[in-house]
Amino acid sequence: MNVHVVSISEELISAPESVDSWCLKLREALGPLENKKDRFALELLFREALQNALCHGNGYDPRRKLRCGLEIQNSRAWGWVEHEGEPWDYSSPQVCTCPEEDEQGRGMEIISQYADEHHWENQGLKIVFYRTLKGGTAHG
Amino acid sequence: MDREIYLLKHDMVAGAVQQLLSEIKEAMEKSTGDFTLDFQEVLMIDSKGLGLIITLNKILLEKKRKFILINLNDELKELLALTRLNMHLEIR
Repeated sequence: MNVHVVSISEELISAPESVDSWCLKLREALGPLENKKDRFALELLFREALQNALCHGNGYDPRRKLRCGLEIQNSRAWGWVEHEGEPWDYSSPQVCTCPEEDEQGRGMEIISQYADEHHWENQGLKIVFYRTLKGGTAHG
Repeated sequence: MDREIYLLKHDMVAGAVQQLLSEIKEAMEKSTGDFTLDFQEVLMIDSKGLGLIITLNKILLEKKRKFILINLNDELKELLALTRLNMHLEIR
């Protein structure tokens, strides 16, 4: 039997505060997950994907929206983040292992480290990522 | 020599980094010796937060002051290791 633990999605305005607010809501929704690493990883994945979409996609334009969602079924989690700005050139190298001394440029590196896999849809307007949960859930 | 321990009261994430930078720099300027960031109450650091840590480290290095991070939980320590920042920071 499939155990559906989390299913949330939302449309956000393009502002850092709305990202923070949604991530705190996400943190609460992830409460049933037993493993702290899974909770941390999923929140971090959304923070990075939303920040990329907000900054590089929507360019902080308040007229453009962000949409995101997370589904967790059994031990599989998949999340997505979509923006209304310029399509992401996903044919170019997405993960740079930037010098440790650099102050920015780690977003995609973090997504690659914490997701088992990720891909782009809608000409690069939407990122979808997957993670197999390490510790199961309180419900199944 | 003065030693400053700054207890972070907020997650180090994009929406908070500007405010944190301003507050921590003010605390750094009021002290002269080692500067310690206490992460006891921090649950999340994102890439912008990592950038802030690097910025603070650079400022202190230029002044020949030691920058120390304490009380990081296991998830935060792992994040610093995965991004190789642990090699450049003093973590206790």
